[in-house]
Amino acid sequence: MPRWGMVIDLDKCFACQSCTAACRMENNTPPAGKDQAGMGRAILWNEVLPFVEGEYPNVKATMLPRPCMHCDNPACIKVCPVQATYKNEEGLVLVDYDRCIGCRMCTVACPYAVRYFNWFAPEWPEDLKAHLNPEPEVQPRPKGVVEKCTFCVQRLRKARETAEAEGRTFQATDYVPACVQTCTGHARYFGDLDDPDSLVSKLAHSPRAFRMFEELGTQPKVFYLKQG
Amino acid sequence: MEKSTSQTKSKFSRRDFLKVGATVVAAGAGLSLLRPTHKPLAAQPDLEEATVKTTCALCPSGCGLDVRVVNGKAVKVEGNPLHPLNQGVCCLKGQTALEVLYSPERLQHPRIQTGERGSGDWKEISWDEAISLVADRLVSLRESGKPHTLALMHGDLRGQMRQTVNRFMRAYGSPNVISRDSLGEGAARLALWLSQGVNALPVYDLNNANYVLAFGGNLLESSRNLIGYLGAAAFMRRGRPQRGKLVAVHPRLSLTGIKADEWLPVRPGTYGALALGMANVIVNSKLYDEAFVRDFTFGFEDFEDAQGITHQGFKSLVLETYTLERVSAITGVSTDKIARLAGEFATNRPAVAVLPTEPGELSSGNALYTALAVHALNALVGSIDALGGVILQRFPELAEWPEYALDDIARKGETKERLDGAGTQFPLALSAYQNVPERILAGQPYPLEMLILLNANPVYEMPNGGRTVEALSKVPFVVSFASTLDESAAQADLILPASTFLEIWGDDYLEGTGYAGISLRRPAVEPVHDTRNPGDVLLDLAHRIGDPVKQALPWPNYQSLITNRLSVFDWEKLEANGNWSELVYFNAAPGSPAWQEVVGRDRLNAPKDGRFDFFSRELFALPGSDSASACLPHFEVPAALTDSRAEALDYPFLLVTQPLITQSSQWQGIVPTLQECYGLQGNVKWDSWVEIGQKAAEALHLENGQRVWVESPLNRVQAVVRVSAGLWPNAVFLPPGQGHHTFVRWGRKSAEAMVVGANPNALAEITSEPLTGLAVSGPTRVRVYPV
Amino acid sequence: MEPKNHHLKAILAPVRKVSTGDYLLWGALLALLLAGAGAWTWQFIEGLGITGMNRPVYWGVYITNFVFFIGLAHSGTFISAILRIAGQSWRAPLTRAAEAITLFSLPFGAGSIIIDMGHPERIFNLLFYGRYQSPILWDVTAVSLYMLSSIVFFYLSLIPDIALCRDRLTDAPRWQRRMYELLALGWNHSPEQYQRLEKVLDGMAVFMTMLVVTVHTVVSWLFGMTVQPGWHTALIGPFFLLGAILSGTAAVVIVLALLRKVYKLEKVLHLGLFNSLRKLLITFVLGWLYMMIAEHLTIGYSSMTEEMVVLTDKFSGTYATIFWGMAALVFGIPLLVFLFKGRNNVGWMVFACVLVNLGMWLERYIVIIPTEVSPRMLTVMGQGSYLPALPEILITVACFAGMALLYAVFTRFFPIVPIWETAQELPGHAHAAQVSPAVTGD
Ligand SMILES: Nc1nc2c(c(=O)[nH]1)N[C@H]1C(S)=C(S)[C@@H](COP(=O)(O)OP(=O)(O)OC[C@H]3O[C@@H](n4cnc5c(=O)[nH]c(N)nc54)[C@H](O)[C@@H]3O)O[C@H]1N2
Ligand SMILES: Nc1nc2c(c(=O)[nH]1)N[C@H]1C(S)=C(S)[C@@H](COP(=O)(O)OP(=O)(O)OC[C@H]3O[C@@H](n4cnc5c(=O)[nH]c(N)nc54)[C@H](O)[C@@H]3O)O[C@H]1N2
Ligand code: SF4
Ligand code: SF4
Ligand code: SF4
Ligand code: SF4
Ligand code: SF4
Ligand SMILES: [Mo]
Repeated sequence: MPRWGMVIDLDKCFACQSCTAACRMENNTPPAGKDQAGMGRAILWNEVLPFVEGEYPNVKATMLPRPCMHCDNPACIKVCPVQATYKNEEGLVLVDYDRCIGCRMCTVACPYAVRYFNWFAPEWPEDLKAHLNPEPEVQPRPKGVVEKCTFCVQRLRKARETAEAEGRTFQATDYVPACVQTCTGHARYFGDLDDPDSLVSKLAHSPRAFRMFEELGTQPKVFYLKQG
Repeated sequence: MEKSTSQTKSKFSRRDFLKVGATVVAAGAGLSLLRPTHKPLAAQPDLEEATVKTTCALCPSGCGLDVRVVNGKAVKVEGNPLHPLNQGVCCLKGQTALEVLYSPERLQHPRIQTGERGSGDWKEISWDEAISLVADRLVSLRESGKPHTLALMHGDLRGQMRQTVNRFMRAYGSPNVISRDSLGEGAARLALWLSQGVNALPVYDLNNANYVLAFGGNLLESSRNLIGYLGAAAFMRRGRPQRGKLVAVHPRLSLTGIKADEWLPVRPGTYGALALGMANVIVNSKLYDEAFVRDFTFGFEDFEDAQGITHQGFKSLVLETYTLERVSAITGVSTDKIARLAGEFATNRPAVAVLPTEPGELSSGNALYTALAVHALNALVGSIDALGGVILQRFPELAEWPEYALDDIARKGETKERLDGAGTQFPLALSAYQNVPERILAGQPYPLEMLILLNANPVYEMPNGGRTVEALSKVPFVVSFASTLDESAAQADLILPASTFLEIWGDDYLEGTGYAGISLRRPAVEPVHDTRNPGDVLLDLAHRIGDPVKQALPWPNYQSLITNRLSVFDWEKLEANGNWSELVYFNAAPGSPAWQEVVGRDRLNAPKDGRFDFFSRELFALPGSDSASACLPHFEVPAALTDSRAEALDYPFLLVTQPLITQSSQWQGIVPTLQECYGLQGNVKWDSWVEIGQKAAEALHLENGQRVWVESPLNRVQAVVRVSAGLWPNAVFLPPGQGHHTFVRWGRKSAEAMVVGANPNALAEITSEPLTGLAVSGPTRVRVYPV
Repeated sequence: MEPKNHHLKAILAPVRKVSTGDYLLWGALLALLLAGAGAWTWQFIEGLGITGMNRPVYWGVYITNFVFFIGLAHSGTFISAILRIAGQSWRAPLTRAAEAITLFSLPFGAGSIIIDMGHPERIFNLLFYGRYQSPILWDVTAVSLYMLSSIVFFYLSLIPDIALCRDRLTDAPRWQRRMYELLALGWNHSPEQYQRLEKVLDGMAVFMTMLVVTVHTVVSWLFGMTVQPGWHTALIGPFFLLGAILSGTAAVVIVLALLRKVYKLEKVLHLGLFNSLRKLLITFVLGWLYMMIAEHLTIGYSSMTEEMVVLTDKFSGTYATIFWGMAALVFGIPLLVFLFKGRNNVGWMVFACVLVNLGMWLERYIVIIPTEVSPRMLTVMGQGSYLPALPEILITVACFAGMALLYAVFTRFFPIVPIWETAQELPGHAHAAQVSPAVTGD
């Protein structure tokens, strides 16, 4: 069984937010609109987060694209009272929208603020519904449940089907999440961390590699490569 | 949508789906820790899938796109892996293209304004009525011998569209094809022509550059070849053994500045001085490419002209006039910094100085000479058409356009003065978009009878749109191709709503690669609404008007025009790949025959001797140009910087603006997801923010999140404060692209339109550079105070 | 033969008649309760979006209410159970009044959790898929267990008095007499019955005491078990517990004062009780202060960055007013009052205790919100903000109204002072009288 993980090279990332947009278009997260967005209720599974420090003219800014870390030891799963959020054997941390009771314990617990609550039922202007991704995994979520980055599970499923249909064995490289595919700087890498020969596991061991809030022991499966 | 080899059809049977469901359940089941079962997925109707290859039109890059179409609906956009520019990736504007395609803001039928201009009393009419209306007007205008009183203002025109429009207008008999270039790329285009002798936009070979000195903050956000440069910048850092260095020169720490290896803050509008100061260092310490400068440039040393008058050369100019101390004083950059950067630039070759393809908001009245100064740096280090330097975009040979003969009416029209004064009022200008309103209001050179707007929204995009509204109301008949009820369309009599690029046939020249290529645009879906391709409309009109216009554009529809023009390629391959290109760029060795193509090719009044002009002989040839410095790159301090009149002091800040990547170069404002990504640096969604320096904010007691007025002598707009550490002390930054009045209707249960954010153009005065007709709109002085 | 208690008349007096005043009061409270119910329905249909909650403030006043009401609930168990074990017989007259508070605040505590859920109708997923790793489940278990045992505890000690009502209130409406009959379970005041009852209650008291400690510690772990700054401390448990007991005891004072005024029970609920409670309160306030200092000093001294963000936000930032206001309400003013004004003065005691409870509510609020407003990602997302919206306010008011309503109604049908526990002579306990403080009353 593969252990899926991601590497984001901050040296090649230009904070273009294409990943953010790709994620929305692939996973049917609803537009929030001015007022809701103003309340911080916009749902963007993969935000690019700016850390800026220093005083003019010596400013240090880091732009951090942030999907779900799909932690090996996830704070969110620990606290979920009904196991609506769970980790599958390939290491993907997922949410069962039909089981979630909307207690928001996980949103409070996740140190990376990657979990989004559906304060209202998602809404699209009628015309706009035409472009929603028809895959069953990404049907619009009901109000009152939590959702987040899934590493595009639907793409994993489809990759397996395609492989099967074409009568070949499924390769880790067949599976590419939307944000990785569109990354304009080719800064995102995705693959099997357990395969020592995979590019991701090589990069994850590079001296430039680090993980967010390593000290919390959540064991993220998303690695970053330092800029410069 | 008819089949084609480029469509990989995959059919799903219901059974497949149940299988899918099952596997997923199984997956779910095996995995969850204590309690297995996570609910099975609802099985799903059969999907008819197809992938259509087309070309993006949301910014000038023109990426190849793979559109995933399911049951006739476009559901996802990816980059086309077979496209040499974007190689499978796609920026956020392309990603959100479907929100444009299915936007509720789109106009669904042709409509005519029955009440007053701008009254908003519209009546929807059929295409046939609409086109007859226009045709009749055009015919009668032509018959009354006044075809020149028709003008067409256009924004970005892709591929064959530019020629189609030109042929239409020329055959019809009007000289008034007025491009938006004068707001945009004009400065760079002119600079290249006047120095290098080619009428083209510069392309930068970042892939092979070791040192990139980017003037302007937007190279990696909104530059013309965005996608190419993003990929190249990444490659420059991690794709090759030697890591190149990227320096961003800009008053504001833009995303480009943040991601660059070094950000060099500089006083707004003083790039030119900085470039000349660096030239001073490079010349002074003999770090320039002496062989190249000696053999392939003109006007480096002082020289004597035919009349025996001696002229100052570039060398002595920079040595005498642009000393470090002086330049440092002008630009606010310390002398040692200038010296260091100049040194790095000259010694880390190949090095390239990137000049913004447009001067942006800070078009400071010195855009041309600024651009000349920046480009001169490239000549100094021999980076002209060299590996890792400035290269030129080549274009493919296509099938011949059909011959056509102008009739008397057309010939007479052709000789008339242009409405915008290009070539007359502004000798060097190809167009002077921003000059149109004033000329219309003044009734010069003749009263305008009819105006067509194509991908153009002059009311919004130009400073002081109020004047433009007045002007439009003076034109008896205004037609707009707008796809949404934008500010200008709202002032039109008739709107012929254009289909989006995802619904039409078309093409796009490969730009930003250097080597020639073409990218095919084909409908991904049936038109969502009762809209048409402006190309089709023009061809239809051509037929109704008859010769010579029909002669110039004989095709029944735009698709056949495209297939005909591109017939030189293997159509099968073209459709399969979505594009064709040469894939290799051959740099011209100085002096080689190819060199004639990259230096001097388009010169009119200057020798095509393969020499790069430090001293522009093209300018020198202009009647009445005094040689002194007018022909050399030099720096003129923008008035606004020195302006010390009392009322000027009331406006202590200089306004900086620059397009963001989150701003679609068309459809600004109406794309919800772009609105929700809009202000990455300001952490602002669905709004405008104003960046203000830490010190200034303290002095004015302004806090993050506060709403303030940004006011210029002309007007004032609201925005929310973001105190920024990355901003020139007396500058404020306001992003463009917001504040559309006519079409933003978003958010939960909100029915009525609302204006999102503010349009900085409202603050600026706009004039034109006397020689070049380039827009001058700043730096605008503003003040900031709480609402 | 039934227990002899010469306050019997006074105690049973309120039970005798329901005045129009009562109906008006009940009506008013019911109206507020319904308003809250309405708000909840609205929220159920529209979604939690109509509240002021947002990202990153995922929890607001609902969770605050949850913690607060559970805290309030501790009064009863504390007074009756713990003091019972400690053999503090002076407590006898006020045990039931206190336990009633427990009983009537618990539902609104537990209810707040459900109100806060995005999918209340999925509550039973807790049974189907419950996971004991989750603090929420600890809470649910502890609280429901607590609720259950309080009911039993309360009911048992009520039986003898129900029997008394059955025998004395012969003029009450039929249904009421029927009710007494049923609930009395045929109690006939036999000595064995009393001995057995005492035994059971003593036994339960121990169990209850342990529950009290558990429950509120667990409640605190809802926060403590996350790694969020300001929450992730070992002290949070005891801190919450002591806070709970403090507010609970204060609540008892308020209730007693009301009862003795409205129901003219001055003789039974005599000043002596207030003076003893006063001593307790002083100890608790000081204990609470100690925890307060211990907690914030540890955090402040170590000055870990993201912890400091939250701390400074409380001390000098956005929440300074609430924080220091809270400190004054819970500690500053009350302590002074208790020390210098409280003794033999019910008015002052009540005043101080009201402040304490206001303060404790704010204390819950100030523990929860600032941490959420400044999550680890603060530097990134920019500080959050939160203000309760109309539905949240309505529902909060409704909770208090509901609690008051239950209390008011109860006291009209059952004696709020345990007659048998305050009796001078109890079958099987000849000497009850000596220890019964009721005597010192007159
Ligand atoms: N995302 C996005 N991309 C776009 C567009 C968009 O709207 N959104 N628009 C497209 C269009 S239409 C165009 S024209 C291009 C424009 O894009 P660019 O050609 O790159 O022009 P700007 O983005 O305006 O940035 C011009 C830079 O030049 C600097 N500058 C200011 N004053 C001067 C001066 O006097 N001289 C010189 N040399 N530089 C100066 C400014 O600081 C600014 O950073 O971008 C295209 N790409
Ligand atoms: N502050 C500031 N202002 C600027 C600039 C700047 O850098 N800073 N840059 C200037 C420059 S260079 C430019 S190019 C302009 C760009 O600014 P705008 O004029 O807003 O240009 P767009 O929004 O790209 O397109 C113009 C109109 O074309 C319509 N349209 C969009 N797509 C289509 C289509 O497919 N078919 C048809 N027929 N119509 C369509 C839309 O309604 C849109 O309003 O802004 C100019 N103004
Ligand atoms: S798409 Fe790639 S380059 Fe752009 S922000 Fe995301 S990670 Fe960075
Ligand atoms: S990042 Fe947050 S949500 Fe994702 S697995 Fe880790 S804890 Fe859970
Ligand atoms: S909100 Fe849903 S997923 Fe999160 S903890 Fe509660 S039940 Fe689990
Ligand atoms: S992996 Fe998929 S779900 Fe996760 S951020 Fe990327 S696109 Fe979104
Ligand atoms: S918007 Fe420009 S960069 Fe983005 S995909 Fe379209 S063409 Fe490419
Ligand atoms: Mo432009």
